Amino acid sequence: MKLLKNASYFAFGAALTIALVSPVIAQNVDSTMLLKPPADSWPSYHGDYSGKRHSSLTQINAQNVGNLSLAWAFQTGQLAAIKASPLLVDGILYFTVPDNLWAVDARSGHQLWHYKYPPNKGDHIGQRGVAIYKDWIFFMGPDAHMVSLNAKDGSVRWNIAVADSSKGYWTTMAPLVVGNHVIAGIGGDLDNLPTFVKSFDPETGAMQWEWDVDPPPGTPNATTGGTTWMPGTYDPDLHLLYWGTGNPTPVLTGSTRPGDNLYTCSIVALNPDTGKLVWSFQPSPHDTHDWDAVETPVLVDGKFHGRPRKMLMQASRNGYFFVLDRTNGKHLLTSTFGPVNWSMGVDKRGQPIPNPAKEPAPDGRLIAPDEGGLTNYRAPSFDPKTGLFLVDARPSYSVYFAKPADGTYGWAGADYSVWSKSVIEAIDYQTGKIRWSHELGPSSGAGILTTDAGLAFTGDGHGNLLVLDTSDGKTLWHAGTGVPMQSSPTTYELDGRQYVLTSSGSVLFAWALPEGGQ
Amino acid sequence: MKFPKSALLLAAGAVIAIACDGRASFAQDVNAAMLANPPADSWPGYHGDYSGKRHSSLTQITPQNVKDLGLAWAFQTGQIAEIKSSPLLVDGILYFTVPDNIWAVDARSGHQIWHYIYPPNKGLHIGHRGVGMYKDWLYFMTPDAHLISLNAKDGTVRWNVVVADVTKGYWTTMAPLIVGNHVLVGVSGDFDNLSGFVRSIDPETGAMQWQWDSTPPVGTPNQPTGGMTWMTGTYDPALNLVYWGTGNPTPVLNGSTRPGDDLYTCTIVALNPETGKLVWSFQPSPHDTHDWDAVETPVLVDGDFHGEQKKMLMQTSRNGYFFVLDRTNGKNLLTSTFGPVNWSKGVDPQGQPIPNPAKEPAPDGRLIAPDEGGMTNYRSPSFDPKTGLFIVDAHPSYSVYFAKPADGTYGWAGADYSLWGKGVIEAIDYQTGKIRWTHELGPGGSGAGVLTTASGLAFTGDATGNFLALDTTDGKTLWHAGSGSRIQSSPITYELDGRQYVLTSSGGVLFAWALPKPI
Repeated sequence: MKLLKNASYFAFGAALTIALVSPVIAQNVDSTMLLKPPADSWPSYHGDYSGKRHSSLTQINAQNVGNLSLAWAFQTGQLAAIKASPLLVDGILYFTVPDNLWAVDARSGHQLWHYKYPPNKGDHIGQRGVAIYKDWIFFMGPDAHMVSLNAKDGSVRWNIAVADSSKGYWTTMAPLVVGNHVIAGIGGDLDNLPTFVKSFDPETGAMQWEWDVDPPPGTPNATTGGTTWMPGTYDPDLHLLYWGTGNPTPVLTGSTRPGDNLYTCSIVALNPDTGKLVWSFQPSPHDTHDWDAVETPVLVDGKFHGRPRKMLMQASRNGYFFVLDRTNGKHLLTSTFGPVNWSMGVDKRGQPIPNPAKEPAPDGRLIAPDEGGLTNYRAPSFDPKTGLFLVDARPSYSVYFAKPADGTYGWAGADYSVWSKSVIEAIDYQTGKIRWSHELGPSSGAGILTTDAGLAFTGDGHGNLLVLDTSDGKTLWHAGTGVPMQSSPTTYELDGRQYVLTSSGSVLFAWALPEGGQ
Repeated sequence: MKFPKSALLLAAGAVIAIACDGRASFAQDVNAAMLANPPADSWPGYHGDYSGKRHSSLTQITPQNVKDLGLAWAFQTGQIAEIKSSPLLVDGILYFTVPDNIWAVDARSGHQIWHYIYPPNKGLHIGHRGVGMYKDWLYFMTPDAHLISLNAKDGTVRWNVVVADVTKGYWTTMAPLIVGNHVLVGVSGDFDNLSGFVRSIDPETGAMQWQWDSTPPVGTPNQPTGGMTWMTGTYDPALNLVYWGTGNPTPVLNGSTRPGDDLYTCTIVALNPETGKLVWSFQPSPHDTHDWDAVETPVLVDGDFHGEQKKMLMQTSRNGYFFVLDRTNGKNLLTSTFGPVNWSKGVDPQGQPIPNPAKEPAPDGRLIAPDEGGMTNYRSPSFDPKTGLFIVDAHPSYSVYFAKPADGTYGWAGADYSLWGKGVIEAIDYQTGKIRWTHELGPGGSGAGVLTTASGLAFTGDATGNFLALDTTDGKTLWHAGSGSRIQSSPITYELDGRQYVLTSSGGVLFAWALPKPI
């Protein structure tokens, strides 16, 4: 038995060598591949365009997950926490921390190249990874530049400014590639800046279109803000791009920006060829609590109350869970997935109605959730078999203060989180009811990956990697990783072996079942 | 099956909770008896036990099941410095270091209990090999050559004493050795003509008890300086002898001002732990001019040698020689090489290599094997009693050594350039000095030490950052996992709650490996 197995490994190795030198067999990252990523790839931030973070791989299952072991680790040797989702193309992983991009062999964890972006003054708050199109990588610098690099060796092809970092912009996101568009958003919080989604030509870096979140600067009573700092999702059939926008500015006072402050704290559907707005839905009209609505707009096709629907689901930072019809943005369901005390209910469009009494006040207001929100950038996951939307939730309370003396610029107030914990909430999308909860302890930052084997991979507040049973949330396996995860797991299959990739602190961990041990 | 097992675990948990609750009667008392015979749920000294064998009697992880080895937990220091220490384990708590930092970590979960940071200082931050422990106190050496005693419970400092003057060029990196009520420490320093010493310090007060100097007083004509004592020694309680290695003489690459053997540099010495008096010595590198410290672990083995029962001491020395000595008197039993060695004219009647003057550094360069880093270095070897194999992470290598008379006779006093090196695990038959098997580790070399277990496993690491489990009998790889960085430390193992853990480190991460828990 052993001999035979070894022989077949060697044969595999020979085929691989050929694959690596012959471009005919190499994976071509084009529209077709991005629409249907093979099992041995993870070619974009969410893996596929839907944002479900659900994999069809089943080698690791509830029966054998107890034997999961570490195939390899990669240490960045840097202080920055890994927040990126690594891409996988042609057996090579690409991942980042601010100013740094690594190409790593997905089988061995050995470094192929390491690119360092020159020193710059942008905010180094985090980096969520890169995009790839054909043989080119697209990476965003803390100073709001986009760099295109050769995936083979990390050499720079071009470098363009997406926004002016001296005004307070920065970038952290993994761009989204749709057709021949490289689509990017922008970060920035403390200045009253207009924001946008921009599309760039993958070959030249020339801008193709720009969609502005806010009215032109200087419009009376209009808002600024609405940063677009997370990658969106895409429906190829409807040919619509879905993107979330952040909070309006000034952040904690709404006095200079009456009304809903469109299109801040919104989910928008854009035409990816023109950037034209097709519809919008606003999770947080007139936000005064910093609750970006940039959380993944997850695209699910399935029945809703008996009728087949093309849906969009979001567990939003403000504590609400939304199910929309993504053909037109009409709402199907609105519920909460934890303590929420800031609204007066939901309007007929399904949007929460903010309670003016819960706006920040000079004597403080106790608000649930806190400013970090009931969830944040970490990815949720949708499991088709159980119909569960799994999200790393953070029930929390904050005290929000208005500080009129500070003026109406930038943060314009103060808030203090008083308590929080972390739980995985499994939401039944048909009812908004929580089917099960799994306590995680103090704050976790881990996203979720589900697989067809009925497993949910995530992390707890102590730095444990967890594998849960998707149907009931019971822990099937865990391993300590030393630091709470600040990223979302991915999975892939290479040479017939399924890997799950997680990261925490400065270390990337590749997990697999023992070789030859099944 | 499932239910009774869980119930048992809960019962075990209850006992542990009581033990942690401050009932001293349950706690492990780190005293002479415990250090002489460490329980399986402890690793109370740098080498685990006093022998330096790095061999464990644990057998839960076997050649058959090691392929299923999984990661129980990892601990990330979040620092740039590489971990070079061997963690201690006492009462379920691990203590380990990088320069200026000690962590206390729960050995079951990898969760941090406390973290001590030594104030900024000007000592050399080249590496740190761990702490010593006696009763409830930790002993930690600092880059600026201080010894600190800390409360193991919370990391608070009890006292801080100066061991040597950092401004003169001393530093410290070592894990102190506890023998009786003696905290034994050595010093480091290379670039100045300083004297090395072993010092014994009172564990309660930090007062000096005795000092043994490895060289005559600085300034003695025609005498060497140097002989640094930067690695933890071993101890034979029956003979009441401490065994310690000393480093190279200074000036380093030029022997003109220090004719003769340069005792006691590059030497293995046996000292009385109560008085520091020298009992015997053996010199692996007389009149060294290549920086080949003889500080590698003096491994203590009791067993048969050519038909006679012997108390032996074995060392694979940085200069490329393997020595077996009678540790009762320092007499040589066997001298051999464990890789390419071209600098000697043979071995003298005492079993010591005879340096070839033609291989001293010269103005036009000399091609020397091994290189300055040596055929091995501080990483630990391991002795496996069942196979009689002494297993060492070796570094076959070549260097060009230059004399630079214009630079004078101070400090390094020359230059050397390594040309080529690789890493191999060599399994040496101690009866013959012959190499029974070789396991290639890759170009450059590995910095991983070796741990063997009674189940026939040898744990180590390769040059590309893989942790390896080898079959001790033939060196075949049974398991590996990539660690993502250079391995610069030696594995340890322990059993807690009936589960065997193997602890390894690389870069800034500690990895705890165990077999899967039954579901």
